[in-house]
Amino acid sequence: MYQNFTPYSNPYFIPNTRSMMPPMGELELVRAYIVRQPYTGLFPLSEALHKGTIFPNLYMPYPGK
Amino acid sequence: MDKMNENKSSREELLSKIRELEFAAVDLNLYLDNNPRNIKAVEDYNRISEELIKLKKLYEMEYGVLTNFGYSQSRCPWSWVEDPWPWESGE
Repeated sequence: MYQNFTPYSNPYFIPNTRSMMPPMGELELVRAYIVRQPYTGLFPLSEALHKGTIFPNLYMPYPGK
Repeated sequence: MDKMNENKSSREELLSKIRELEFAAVDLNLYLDNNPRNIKAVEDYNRISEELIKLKKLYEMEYGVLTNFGYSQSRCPWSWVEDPWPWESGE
């Protein structure tokens, strides 16, 4: 059971979050934060259910698909 | 038979609309938890919820209750146990 489960963060499977963060000088240590999501309108509802989100700026399909 | 198919398809169609609206309501709910002052999002949430409530009511009047435990009223006979069950819908 769970033979392929990796209980530690695997650098091959997580995006490079460091590159998406503001410069180090603007950040405090040991603080979680979320970038404010702008409200850019919604997918048509029938599309949203299939895409898994109603927000175009959260739609990130796997490249393989 | 044609009549039956027609009924089935409008039932399925209504159910799909309800699923789409319910999903949109959940997703907007999550957005609003983080952005409670975004008026456009609140307006969209309210518009979608209004439509969802309307369609659920329509569905329940036509085809029977969608939820039990006191969340909606049933005609007689008790419509919760009527066919089809979710696994019998052929999807």
